[in-house]
Amino acid sequence: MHELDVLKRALDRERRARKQAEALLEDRSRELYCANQELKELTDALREQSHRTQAILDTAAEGIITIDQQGIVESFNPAAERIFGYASAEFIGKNIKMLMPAPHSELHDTYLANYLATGNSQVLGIEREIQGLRKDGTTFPIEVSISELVIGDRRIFTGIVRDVTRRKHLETQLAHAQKMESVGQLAAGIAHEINTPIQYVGDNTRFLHDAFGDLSQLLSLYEQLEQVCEQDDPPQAILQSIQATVAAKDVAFVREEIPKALDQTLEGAQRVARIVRAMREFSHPGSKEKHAVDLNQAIESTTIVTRNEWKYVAELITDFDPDLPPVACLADEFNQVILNLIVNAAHAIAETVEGSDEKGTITITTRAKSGWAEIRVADTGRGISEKHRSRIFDPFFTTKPVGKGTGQGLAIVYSVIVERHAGAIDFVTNEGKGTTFILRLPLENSTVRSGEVTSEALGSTAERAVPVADSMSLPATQGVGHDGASGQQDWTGG
Amino acid sequence: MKGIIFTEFLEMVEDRFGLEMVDRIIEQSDLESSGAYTAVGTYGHDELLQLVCQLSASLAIPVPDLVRAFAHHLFKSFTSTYPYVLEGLNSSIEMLQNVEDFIHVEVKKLYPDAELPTIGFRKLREDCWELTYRSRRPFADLCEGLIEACINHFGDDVHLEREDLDVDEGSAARFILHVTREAATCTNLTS
Repeated sequence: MHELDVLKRALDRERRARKQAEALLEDRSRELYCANQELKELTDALREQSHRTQAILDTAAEGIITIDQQGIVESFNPAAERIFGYASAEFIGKNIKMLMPAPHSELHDTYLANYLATGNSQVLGIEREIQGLRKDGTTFPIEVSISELVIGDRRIFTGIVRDVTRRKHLETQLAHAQKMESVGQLAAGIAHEINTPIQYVGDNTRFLHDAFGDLSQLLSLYEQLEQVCEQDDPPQAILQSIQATVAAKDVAFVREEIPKALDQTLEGAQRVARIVRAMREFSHPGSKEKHAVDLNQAIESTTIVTRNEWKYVAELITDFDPDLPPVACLADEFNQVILNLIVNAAHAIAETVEGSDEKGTITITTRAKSGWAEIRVADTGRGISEKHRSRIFDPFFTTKPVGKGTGQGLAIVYSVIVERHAGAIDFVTNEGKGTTFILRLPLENSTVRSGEVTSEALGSTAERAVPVADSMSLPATQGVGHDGASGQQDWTGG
Repeated sequence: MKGIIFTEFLEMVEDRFGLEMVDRIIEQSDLESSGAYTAVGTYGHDELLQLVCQLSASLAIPVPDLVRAFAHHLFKSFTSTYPYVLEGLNSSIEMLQNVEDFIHVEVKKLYPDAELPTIGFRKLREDCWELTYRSRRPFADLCEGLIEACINHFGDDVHLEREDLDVDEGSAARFILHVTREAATCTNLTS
């Protein structure tokens, strides 16, 4: 019986243990089911997110390329395929430097290694304009911004690429159109400038023509006198004719005036030649490469071309640094900048002297200062009101009446000086007294092509202005660019 | 404490001392579970202590000796049921090195809510290793028994020293393993 009781109790414990196990099993099944449901929902959500992300990559207009820390391409979206001409299947696994022309292709591995070792980079997170290299070997301008992603111990770099060839072409066309617009606007003034010397060239030439006629008559009489003397005939009749002719033609006056007329004619011709030469230099299609330009000469030419714009309202004074070295720049764009500033200065002065006989002053100075070529264009016009100062470089912003300006002048000045030449621009203004624009161009030799920003370039692509270190004679208010920052920003590519 | 410990213990008691002994120690203990254990369940460790004490009283064998004997049984049962834990291992040192990062991980897969002791293992010098045991429960004897069973399984010549450590909560012990052959020649050991 005892054994039976033991067995019964054991059986009872086993039965209860089994029920426990069954209950636990049911609980586990329920948990597993819920976990599976959760997992399924998570998987569905992840799949949808993956599809969405892939769709964004596939349909993005910009090229999106990811590389690992060795520079090996991991992904290459359809837009990148179109931009560079590679199929993603053939390019994934290749080094990103294949999309760069020399010398950057040779340097990229070093750039990347330096960043991984030091953590120092000035290209992450900013938009840069560089040259890309297509599969067919052609280079073209692109805008690139790069970001970094860290997953565990892996670093992935993502590049967003935009082909800006068409935009560059449009910018060139716009610049040319602006230049032609300027040329057109100046055409009437230039015609007048040329017409004035042509007038007195004509007047003097007519005088010389008439004087020559008179002198020819006199010379004929002297020839007759010579014949009479040779024939030993009495010369009195001829002498009387000569004296009468001398008196009638006022030969003394003619003798005195002919040299003057010749001088004036020559001067007039030279003046026309100077205007034509300046016009030709100004309107000649510019080179896309920067080359060394004598800024003093370029400014001089521009003052000649614009003379009709300022001569009625201002005196223009130039104070050029004779030791200013040639500056690597785009000549036609620089000329456009000076033209825009001179025209603006003249318009500002015109508003203050209107109705009076007074004239204002435009002063243009050049100096070489600490590695920069500094150009100042100062006027004694109305100045810039405080409410407008922050906007004067904005495209299409203008305070002039309709028809008198498109608002592109200073925007172009900013674009050319800061973005195209890595220079700096600032202004000092005093309402009612005048404004001075200060331009700075780097004096260092640059091997860049226009539009390309490389490790050798200086300056900011996004920030404006360098504060003027030395004070102006005007008790002025600083321009909006004044923020105390240095005008130079060094950055290295890679 | 997971039910498998209880089921294995009672199985050992039944195997060695009979079903009557199992019935006796259960009836003589005050068990919340009434002695009905399933391997996948969870029960208070005090119940195991009661059962061990009752067995010790019935057999007149000291509790530590019983616990160590149980540890040997447990080692044999586990390695028989889960032979893959021994795969690729050539010595007791290699296995003890794997306890925290492999064996306990595998246990957690089967029993996610298991509360396991923390086992530290490091090399002190060329032929000398240290294993530390920390737990909320007072089962350093069980740990010692498992180490002994492991050494015996691989046939290693290892001298084991034990030092109980004073801790504010739970229990802790330090074991020093002096190796004389086999384990010390393994080339893939790291401290």
